[in-house]
Amino acid sequence: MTPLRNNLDQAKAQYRKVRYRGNLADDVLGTSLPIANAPKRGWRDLLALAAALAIGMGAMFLWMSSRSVSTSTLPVVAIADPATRPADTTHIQTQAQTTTQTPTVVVEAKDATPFTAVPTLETFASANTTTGSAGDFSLSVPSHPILFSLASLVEAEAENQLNPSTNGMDPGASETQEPL
Amino acid sequence: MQTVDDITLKHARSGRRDAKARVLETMQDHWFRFCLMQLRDSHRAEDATQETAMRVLQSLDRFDGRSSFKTWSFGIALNVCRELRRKQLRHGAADFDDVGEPIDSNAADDAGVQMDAIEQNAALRNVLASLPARQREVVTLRYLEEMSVQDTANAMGCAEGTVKATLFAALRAIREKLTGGKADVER
Repeated sequence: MTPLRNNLDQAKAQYRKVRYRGNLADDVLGTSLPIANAPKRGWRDLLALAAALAIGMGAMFLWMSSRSVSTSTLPVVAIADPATRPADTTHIQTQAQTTTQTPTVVVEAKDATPFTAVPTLETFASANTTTGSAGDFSLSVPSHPILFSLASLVEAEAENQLNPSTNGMDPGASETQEPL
Repeated sequence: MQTVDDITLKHARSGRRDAKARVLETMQDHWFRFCLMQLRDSHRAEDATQETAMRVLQSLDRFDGRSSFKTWSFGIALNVCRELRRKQLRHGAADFDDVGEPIDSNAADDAGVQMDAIEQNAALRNVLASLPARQREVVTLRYLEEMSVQDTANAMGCAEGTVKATLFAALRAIREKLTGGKADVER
């Protein structure tokens, strides 16, 4: 055996005596990879999680859909009983109060002519039905497009009473009314 | 050498903690010895061993079985050691390849004592310390880990011819320092 081979064999023997201090599995799996210690989740857990997420997303979608009404779907509020509409614009005036979280249209009747304003879509069923004849009445509606629609309708209806030649309840038909 | 069987590897791949622990328990001494030989510092060798273990576990899915698990994992350990050496050089610390001197055994802790055990052969200690990093890698894998030339080439990511040439140069350097060039190198 050559001296070189002899030295290498000695080095190999010493090399094999070296041991890692401690336990590598504890060092690595115990601290550096805490996720390895987490309870294992089966496919049922994943399925339940996915279903819960889908339901949550669906509910959020429906809620957002109910909130985002485009103006093209208007009018959504109408005077329920034409017979009880106010005679002309001098009998009512409307104004929007948007300072509160729930925008409110205040319908003020200036005489004793009774009227009723109701929301016509179920999605706005939360809006209060307003019936009255004199005094101030509030119709709470959930968004500005509804406010505008209500105000337009109320005044448009009043103008229809004054000008029978004007048909329909187009909110844009009244050019002179003040925007809310 | 004790090796990791295919069933344990399969279970480790599937995420079983006990199988992962068994892989690490089987390989920890091998990786540590190798890293200690390359880095010549027990603390850095421990860090390198743990980094190797984490990378092996994270890469188990990519082990395709073309080489043995030992060869594949030593390739990872080799890369970890090279990265640590480069990082040390970037931070201005002297590398052993530059210094060419053995570690200070007076500052030995438990692992340092083990390093001394390797280097009881004082002559070989100085010779191994003075080898360039690439030659030290080849000598460690080929002679101390008893890998074949092909496995050594796979672990180092180079051709077998490169391994043979590097090995020849390393053994010639060792021989010259130990025997003054009188003995032949057994290839």
